[in-house]
Amino acid sequence: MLIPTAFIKLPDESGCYNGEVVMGGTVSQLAMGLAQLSHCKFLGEAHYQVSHSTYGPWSTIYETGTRLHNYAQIRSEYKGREYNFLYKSTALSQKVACLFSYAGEQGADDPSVTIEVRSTSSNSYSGTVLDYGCKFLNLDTQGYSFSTDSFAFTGTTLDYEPSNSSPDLIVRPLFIPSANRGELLNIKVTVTDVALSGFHIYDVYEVEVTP
Amino acid sequence: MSNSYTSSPTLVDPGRVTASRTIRTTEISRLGDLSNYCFGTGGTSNVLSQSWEDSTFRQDDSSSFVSMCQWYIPALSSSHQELNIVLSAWCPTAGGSARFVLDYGGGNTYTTDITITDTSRYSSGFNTGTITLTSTQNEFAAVLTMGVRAPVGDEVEILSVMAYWSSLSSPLPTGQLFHTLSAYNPQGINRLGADLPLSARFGVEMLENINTLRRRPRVLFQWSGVEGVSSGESIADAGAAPRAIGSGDLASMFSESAIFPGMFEDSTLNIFAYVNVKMNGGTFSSLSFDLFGQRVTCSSLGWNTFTLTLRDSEVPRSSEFGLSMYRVGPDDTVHNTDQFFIFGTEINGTSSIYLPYIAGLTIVGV
Repeated sequence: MLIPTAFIKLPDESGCYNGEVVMGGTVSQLAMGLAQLSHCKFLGEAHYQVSHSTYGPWSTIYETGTRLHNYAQIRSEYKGREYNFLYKSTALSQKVACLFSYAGEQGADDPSVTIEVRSTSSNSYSGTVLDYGCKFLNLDTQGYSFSTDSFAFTGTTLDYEPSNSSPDLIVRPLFIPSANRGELLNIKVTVTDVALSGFHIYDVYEVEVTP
Repeated sequence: MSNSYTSSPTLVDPGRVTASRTIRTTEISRLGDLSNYCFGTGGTSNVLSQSWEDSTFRQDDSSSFVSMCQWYIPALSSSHQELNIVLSAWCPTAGGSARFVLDYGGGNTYTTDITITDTSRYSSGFNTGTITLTSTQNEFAAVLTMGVRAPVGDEVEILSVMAYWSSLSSPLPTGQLFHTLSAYNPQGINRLGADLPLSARFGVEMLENINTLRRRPRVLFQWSGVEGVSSGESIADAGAAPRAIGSGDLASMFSESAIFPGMFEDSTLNIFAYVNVKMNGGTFSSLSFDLFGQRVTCSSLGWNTFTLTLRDSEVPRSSEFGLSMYRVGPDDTVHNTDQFFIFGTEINGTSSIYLPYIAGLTIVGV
């Protein structure tokens, strides 16, 4: 069935009273209203703002701004960092899209970001790899240390169940096996010459679902 | 009579409820099942997500918990009583811990302490805690405060914190359930089976249930500054976490989130913003800034609450998501650039000038 994203006008309550003939339209409106909730509104999402040190190049602590500019810098230590963004998935988390804001190291040859998803059994960061995910290559670099952040997105299209054993070089959403949907998941991100400033995780909305 | 639900949820076949078709009990039963699923599990994804870069958020040598961050956490219903907190942090020696206090006001507070076990950055695993509400709370949201304690002679570093409400297990509790003033009536699936009448009660309750679930909040944006940061390391290496939103944040400090229509049709569907304003000296008058296409004025220190309407246009990425996506966060306007152009010396007063600043922002939508 098509999953509505729009507001579904509900039937008048009096149409459900005793003595009224229940029409298919009434039941259909209830069904569409609930499908909009379960398969659209209540899809999971997580929005991580990644705050950075506000220590400035002139030994000043600004104490404002979570980003990489305001004269704060991408520190060289960030070149090979790992991040673990924890995501409480839902029963409908089959495909998970990621959107992130970042700054590439000025003058770097090939800034990249690799995203994979792991289980969190025993509260471990190094749980079983559920999807080796994908790698963003040749990301933007900054002309100045205070340039505006860039954005990158996995997209929402994934028409197959991936079986790669290393990161795909074509960016795509992450795939969550059915046994792991609804669990706490670890979106593991490895960066090269990149500093993240925001990382956003979304269950992908499906236009059509088989009842 | 069991108020059960199926996960993954079952949908009603729309082809079965068109004109000239008999309305089967299968469809009615599925409606009850799906409604119970939505109440039990809807909104149990992340309600808090925030992360800090390496060597940014540190606390050292504190014999007691130092209150460092605050967020507003919306409640899903009065029946959702377990808030799970997941903390990624590390401390080279034993003794580092964090305390989370969920405050509903009126002295209704709930606490959990989390002991930090990792000894280096993302070394082995994260730590968890659960805040369990021991009495029924029917507030729309509560304030969550994080305090951090470091062992003597060593440091704790916080890398990220996230939280989520536990789903209600199937079957749902019996009797009417509530979210603030809205009621939810769990549907007994056995009453919707074959050879049983389709009662007027079912239709009326289902309408009320859908309206209640439409008002259930979702967290669209969450950020807290860090107060009381402290480090024994040189300042170049640690301990300079942001306390305030700065003008440099405006270009990218936002989330893109779907906001579902209905705000114009239903006056009970709104977006709420919670703004934590601080000023460490001097006399506070007000602080105004642009948020979600509207100018809001904070007239008092501490948490200010605003009800927002949908005025902004969708972002271009809506077409990729297939949903109406909006930019959710402080607007990138000239006014905000002026308001947020402050220095640390104007926060801590070393310049002899104190300016108000935003130390926390939570945006909750439907």
